[in-house]
Amino acid sequence: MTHASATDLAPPRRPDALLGIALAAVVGVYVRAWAFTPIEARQGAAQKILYIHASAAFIALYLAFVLLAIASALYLWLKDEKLDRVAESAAEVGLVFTTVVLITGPLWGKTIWGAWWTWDARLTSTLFLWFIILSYSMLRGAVEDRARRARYSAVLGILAALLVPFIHLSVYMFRTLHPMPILLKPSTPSMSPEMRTTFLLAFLAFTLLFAAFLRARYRVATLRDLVADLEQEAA
Amino acid sequence: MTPDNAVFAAVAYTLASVVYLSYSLILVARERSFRAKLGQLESALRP
Repeated sequence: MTHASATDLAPPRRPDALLGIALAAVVGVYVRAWAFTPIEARQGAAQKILYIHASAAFIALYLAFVLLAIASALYLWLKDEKLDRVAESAAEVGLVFTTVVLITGPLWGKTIWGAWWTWDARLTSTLFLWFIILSYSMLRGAVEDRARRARYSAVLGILAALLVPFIHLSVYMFRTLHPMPILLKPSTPSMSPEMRTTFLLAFLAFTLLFAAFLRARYRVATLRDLVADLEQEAA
Repeated sequence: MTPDNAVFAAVAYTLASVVYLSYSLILVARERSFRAKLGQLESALRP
């Protein structure tokens, strides 16, 4: 690679408008959830945790980790470094959203179940997935050779994503305190129209945030690889 | 009777905000750091 091509390949330096818009959208959802959405009569204000908890869970499981599996599988087939960068970005952003799930869930659980945590199938498998994705990130940091790192990570990424269908079905397969889906189910959603609108807006805002994080993280990975190439050249 | 548990929701929203905002700042800082490093390496390789 020539010196000039590193600059050409680097992502353009400009303010991240998408990240700004996504954060503003999340603030808008917070305002709507707190000020313009009714309090659920039986659960109280703690029910509002749903809007951030379920959105984060949906995005982590069905967007981030499914993307991780697809990009990893495609990497093993095509050996394109861009796919490895997409996979590592999806894993890290998914880890952030899963962290939010694991923080907000116990706060909601304490008000409804009277317990911060219960070792049931849904909660335990989600925590297990969080640890697997954490180990995925540690694996990436531990292997220096780029091709080998990408190959090992791709295999672990696919294995981690295999937990997603299990987590989804765990509430049907096992006796669990965690509620069944209230929106994504064949029958009519058990929510008032205002709550449903807030939930859908939250889902859109957090999906936008996911896209912004993914794009920013991909940019970081691209820059890191360019730096590594130049360091190798300088050595 | 509707339970008074707004503090749990407030804590959940606050902690979620801390996680998302911290990660945003971490991404911005990492990008700046790599850009600075890239600039240094390029000027070292191309005096």
